[in-house]
Amino acid sequence: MDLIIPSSGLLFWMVLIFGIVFFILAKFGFPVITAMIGKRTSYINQSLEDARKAKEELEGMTQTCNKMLEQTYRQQAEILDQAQKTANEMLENAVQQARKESDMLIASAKVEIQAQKQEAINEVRNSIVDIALAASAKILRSQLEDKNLRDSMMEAVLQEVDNCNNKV
Amino acid sequence: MRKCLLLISLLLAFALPPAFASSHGEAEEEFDMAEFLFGHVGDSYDWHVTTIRGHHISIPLPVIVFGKINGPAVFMSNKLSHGEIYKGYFIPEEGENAGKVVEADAEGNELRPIDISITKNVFALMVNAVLLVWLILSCAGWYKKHDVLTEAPTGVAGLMEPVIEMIENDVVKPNVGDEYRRFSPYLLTVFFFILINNLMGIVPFFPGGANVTGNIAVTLVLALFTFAMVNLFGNKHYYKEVFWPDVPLFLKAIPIMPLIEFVGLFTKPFSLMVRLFANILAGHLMVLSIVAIVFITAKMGPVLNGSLSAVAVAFGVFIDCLEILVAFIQAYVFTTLSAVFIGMAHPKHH
Repeated sequence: MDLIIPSSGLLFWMVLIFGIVFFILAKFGFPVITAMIGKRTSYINQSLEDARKAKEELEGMTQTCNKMLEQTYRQQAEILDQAQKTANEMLENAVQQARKESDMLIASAKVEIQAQKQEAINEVRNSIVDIALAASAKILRSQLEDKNLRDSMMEAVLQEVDNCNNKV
Repeated sequence: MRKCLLLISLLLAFALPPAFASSHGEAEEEFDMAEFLFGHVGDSYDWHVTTIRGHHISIPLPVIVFGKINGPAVFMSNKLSHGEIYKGYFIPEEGENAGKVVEADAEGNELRPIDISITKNVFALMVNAVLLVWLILSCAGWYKKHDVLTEAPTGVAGLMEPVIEMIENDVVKPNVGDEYRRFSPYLLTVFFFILINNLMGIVPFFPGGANVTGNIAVTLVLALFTFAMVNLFGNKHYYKEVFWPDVPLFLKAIPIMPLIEFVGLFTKPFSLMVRLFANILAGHLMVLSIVAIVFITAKMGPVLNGSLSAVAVAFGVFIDCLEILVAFIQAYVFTTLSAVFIGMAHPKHH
């Protein structure tokens, strides 16, 4: 029965002790702790919010960056293409030019050669004529020293002239 | 593992009984179960620490009494041991005042003086209160000395912070409502006060082991504080719901509902008081009953005593673990219900 009858002494002390503990802790203990925890909680929440924002920003920036990169790639490809085309054109032109010039050179060379050739031929012809004349003069001179032969020849020529006169 | 346990229990069976037989043998009287149980869960004027070879070692505590006949007196409790009379005060061993300090009038009737002695429970309360205040203040000190934004809590703060935060966020905030900041110091104090007293009650040696929260006076005061917190700060909607609730008029004309509501004001703290008291008392009694098996079976022969002692120890460990859980749960439940009652006293106008 003693167990369920509160004793007055213990009641008195319990009120006193709990009252003092409550007073001390409610004044100097828990408010300090909970305020600090609350402060940290809000700080952490703020940090999380900031981190989220930063992440979003970063995502946006990454997207822009990617876009720019893509654009750059495209431009690069275009420029390269263009350059390739120009180079090809230039090469083509150069080749054509070269060909034209070489053709012209060849043509002029041919003309020159032809001229030279003609000249050489003429020269050869002249010298042949000279040589032939000289040779024939020498031969004639040597043959005319022989009287018989000179007479026969004279005869032959006269014959020939006669023949010609007869014919006419 | 199983073999190991078996071996230990067998060894205990043969090793323990002679040891008990020598100390418990002829000199000791019959084991008194009721005295053993209620001696341990009850209050006393001195703190019995241990008994070595029949010699009681106890710490005397101050007795403070105000008698009608003998006047006020303050003295140590060992002055009254073995039925001695000091300044007219003595402790009768039988009768309705057995175990309590009384004085005798001219006819020889025993009269109870006003008794505010520092008994075992009061002393344990003081020790635990000092321990609690030290714990919380050193925790608060940590926060004053350190930058809370850059440092993680260490030491006592690291131990206490998660619990404080849990109570504040999971118990106080959802149950009390908007005004929770006003009440959270009280609810936190209640939680830690009950928790530390429960836990110290499980510690089987001095300065633990006092059945503080299993004492109805202690739980009564705690319940009264909650009652005060609920009703002193209740708003007008709360009192309107108590004395003029939203029910058909005939239930208010003959004041059935107000009566029920009014009784309800007191049943709430009453349930708090009884719940905590009964749970902790039951826990103590359970552990003690299991320990008592060792002494009850002391005269039943070595085999039975030894094997049952081993079982008692194993089961005692189990119950003690359970009690640690209960210590926490009861503190939590008391706090939660207090928070709920406080929250009910602050209904929003609807």
